[in-house]
Amino acid sequence: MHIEVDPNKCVYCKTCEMVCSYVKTKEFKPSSSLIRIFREDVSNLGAHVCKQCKEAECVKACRYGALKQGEKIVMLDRKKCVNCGRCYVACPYHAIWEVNGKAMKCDVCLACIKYCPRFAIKVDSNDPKS
Amino acid sequence: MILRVDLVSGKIEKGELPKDYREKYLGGNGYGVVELYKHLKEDPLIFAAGGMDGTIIPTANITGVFGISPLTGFLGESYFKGHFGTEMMFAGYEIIFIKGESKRPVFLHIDGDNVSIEDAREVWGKDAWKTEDHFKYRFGERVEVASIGIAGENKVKFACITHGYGRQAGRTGMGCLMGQKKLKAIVIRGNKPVKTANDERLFGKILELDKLAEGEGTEKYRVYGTPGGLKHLNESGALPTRNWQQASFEKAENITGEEMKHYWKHDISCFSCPIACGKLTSSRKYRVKEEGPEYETIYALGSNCGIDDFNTIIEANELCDTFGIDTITTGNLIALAFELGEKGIIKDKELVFGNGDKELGLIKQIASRTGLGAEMADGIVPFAKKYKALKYAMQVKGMEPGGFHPNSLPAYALSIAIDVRGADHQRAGAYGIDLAFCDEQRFSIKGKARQVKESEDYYTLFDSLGLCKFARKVYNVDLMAELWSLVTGKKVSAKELKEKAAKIYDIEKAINIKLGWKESDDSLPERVTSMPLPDDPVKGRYIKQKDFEIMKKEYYAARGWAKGVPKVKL
Repeated sequence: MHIEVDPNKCVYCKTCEMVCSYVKTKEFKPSSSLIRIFREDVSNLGAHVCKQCKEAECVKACRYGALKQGEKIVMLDRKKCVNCGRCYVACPYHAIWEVNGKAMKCDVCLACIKYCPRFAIKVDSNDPKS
Repeated sequence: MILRVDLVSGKIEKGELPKDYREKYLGGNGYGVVELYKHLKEDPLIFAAGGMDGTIIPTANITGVFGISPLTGFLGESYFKGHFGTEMMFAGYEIIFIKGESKRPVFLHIDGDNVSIEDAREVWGKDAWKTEDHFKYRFGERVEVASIGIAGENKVKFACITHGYGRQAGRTGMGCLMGQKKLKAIVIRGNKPVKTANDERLFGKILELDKLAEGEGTEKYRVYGTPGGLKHLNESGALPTRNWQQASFEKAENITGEEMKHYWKHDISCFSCPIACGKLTSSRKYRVKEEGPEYETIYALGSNCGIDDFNTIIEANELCDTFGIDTITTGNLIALAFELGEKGIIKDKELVFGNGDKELGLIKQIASRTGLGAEMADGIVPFAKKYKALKYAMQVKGMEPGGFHPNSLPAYALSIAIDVRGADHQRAGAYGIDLAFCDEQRFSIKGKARQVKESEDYYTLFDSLGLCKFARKVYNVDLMAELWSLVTGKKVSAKELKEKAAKIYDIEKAINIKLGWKESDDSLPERVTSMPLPDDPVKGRYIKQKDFEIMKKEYYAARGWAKGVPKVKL
């Protein structure tokens, strides 16, 4: 299961980014949000957010055992992370970032869903590769 | 922090905001005018973020642009929403102060603490959207860009600054000022948090505020965007038509917000805003996809030019946006040209109301300063003077009013005349004062001057705190005071906020006085004081000069200005 943003409903207000950064780091700072909305041109919207892959590239890339394949989501143990940067490069969805000196990714806490004014975010239980 | 950039020497300085700034001037509008007042001789271009920008408060995302207006010669200020002001806050700068004129095209690149002036020859000559595409490709899709199109490069006097593919600082020609400085764009990205005094309590209020912002008060904007009000304005005799000769348009049903739904593709909002009044539309005829058109664009390039084809309006809006010119001024200039053509003053058979192709051609000519466009590109006053037609030109201080016919709206008429930046609808929204009445009181002048003053102060608070005026039915002054107390940690009352707003307005006026303002500059166009409207339900209405003088006196008295001159102490 993972967070999925519907680009047809999303209005690019970035409320989810503010909520996410506050819930995770207690700061209003979109650059440490774990969901990132982007606008490529006039009409193309999209979001970078962890897809919780069943065979995750980030888990394969991690050499320190910080990233592990959990039952439903990919688990991250920040204590083990040394910020080597391999997972940032490995993720095909650009959905794992350095936040406050270590890697951080979406853990499906659902705060963004609660606060989205346009109900554009939902939980999707399909694996992106399948 | 204040970022000071000198484009001549290339010097970049960062300084702390003076201690009393936040308390006295709030942000946005307040910061912009006080900096301009202090440094007027340097002819600067100032970007200021609203006081609440970057907090999670719904609709707080305004950016103000300030300078001496190339169009009016008085105070130039214009606001745009979107994601730029908030990004300024995330980069840590409340004010960006730019002075001097560069010799070669440059852009300002701000990546958090790293600030540099870089060569922009690569994008010089590109339109505003392509410039934005270029920088997003080059620096990543998360940068925010404010740029000028070719109109700004060509120093068209009413060029605008474009941000986010369709958010414009349109009025008073701030894009021309950027063009004069050879500053093609500002590219910004921030990576710092915005701290308030009560993060947790603010966060706890968000769902409640969001609910308010999604309530009945904003329904019109959410569903139809700004054109939602067009039908009502047409029915109540306030829709400017055929260069302001009429106040209702017989084909108005073709250009309403309801009609725009047929072209609608997607909603777009600004930072932290649940309203999402931005409507992406597309026209198959011209194969364009764009944001808007807004109500003001529809009146200026539609009814005011006698045009009822929505495809043409969408295309005209797209051309104005990409070239970077103000749609209101452009529409009014074209409407004037059409009227002069019909009256035989300009010898051109194509200049007739309703000629959409000619309108599109003229927009291109204005942006590139060719043909008739070369005469129009300096603004409405030089253009009208050339053809000895100043009496047909609808303008105050060289700028044209927003789309509400002042002949049937006395408070609005007063507000455009006394407005510091020229005829304008956004500094007081005074049309609302008149249109609140459905009876004869709408046309009465009693008590209107006082209401205009109150309304101006209220709108100044929106511009200073960074909130959007479309949420005016959400935020009353009490709620603003409550939120501002939470943000700053210092208790402030609604009354105190209003007093601060009045002081900010005094500084704006003082800037105009420094720039050579005379009492005769606060006057109405001839068309408002001498042309009775021809159509129902406002037949025969116009503003009598005598009535206007009474209102003006009352207004100055309400502000405490002797002969229109305030006493300013910083």
